Amino acid sequence: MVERILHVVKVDGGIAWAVPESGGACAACVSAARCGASGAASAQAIPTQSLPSASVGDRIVVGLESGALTEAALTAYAIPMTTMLVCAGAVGAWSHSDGLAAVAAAAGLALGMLIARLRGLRPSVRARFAPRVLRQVEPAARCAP
Amino acid sequence: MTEFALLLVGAALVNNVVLAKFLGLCPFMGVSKSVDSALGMGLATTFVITLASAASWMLENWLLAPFGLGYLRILTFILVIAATVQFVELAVKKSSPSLYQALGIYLPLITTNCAVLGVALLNVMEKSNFVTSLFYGFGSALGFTLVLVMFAGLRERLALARVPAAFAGAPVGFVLAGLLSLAFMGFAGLNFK
Repeated sequence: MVERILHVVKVDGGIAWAVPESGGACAACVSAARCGASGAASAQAIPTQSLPSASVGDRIVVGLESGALTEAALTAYAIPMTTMLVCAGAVGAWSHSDGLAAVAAAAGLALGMLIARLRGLRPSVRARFAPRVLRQVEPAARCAP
Repeated sequence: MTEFALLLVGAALVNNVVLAKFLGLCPFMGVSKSVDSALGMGLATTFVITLASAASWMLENWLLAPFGLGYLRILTFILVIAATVQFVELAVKKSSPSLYQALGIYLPLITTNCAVLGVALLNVMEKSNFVTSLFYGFGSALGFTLVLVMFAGLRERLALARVPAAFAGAPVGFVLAGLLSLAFMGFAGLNFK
């Protein structure tokens, strides 16, 4: 189980909106205030049936099955990247035109994202990729990203 | 095909972006505590570096070089990379909400690291064609992911080892990274680009 600490910013009918805390090297970086990465994380909607007492300001630990994280990353990133490289490589070898190869890469990327979307729409996949609230944490606690 | 295979080996192992060029050390140390998160982070970074390589090649060859705007290279590349990162997040969020739900929390796109800019700049210096640039970017990113996952595996084992108090945590991590870097120097004997 991969765990992460989140900060609850809104609770609305069994759904908590929470923002992940930056961890590891980012948390200790002196340039964090000026870095774009620190503000890149947006609030996520997470069902909180297992922790009904969660309220705004709480810090909660959210978990996801280890295999699910890898599978989601492979689906979201590896499939579009593979189709993009295959299309660009095939067209580049056939035509030797950079413009056509760039168009083929864009088409391959779009095709890969479509495949990833269709795969992500399966009900079994949706259930496995949904993170769960595990517990509430003390203010000083930290966990690995 | 052989040319692409050699390019990938050269970019991933011989000129490894982390252990030979020492780029992207922040996620290398920060997101390498578990193999799963390292693999997820590595895949996200691979995707961004490959896309950024394509975008920066197009920008350099179709806009900056023809109009003599080479002095704007770093500035425009930073903007393009930041836009690429945001595009990746938006695209995953809109096209696959379930995937975004899983990835959004654990990978808050720390992919805006120096490795992305470094690979894009190195790519431009090579003056290759579009497909070669794309595969060079992919190979470099593959090397980043390989090293990140290897290092995460070693750190998982290190967490169970008895380390002297003075070396516990980041110090022994840096010692380990140094040893890995020495090991990767062995690939320098291979006569690749």
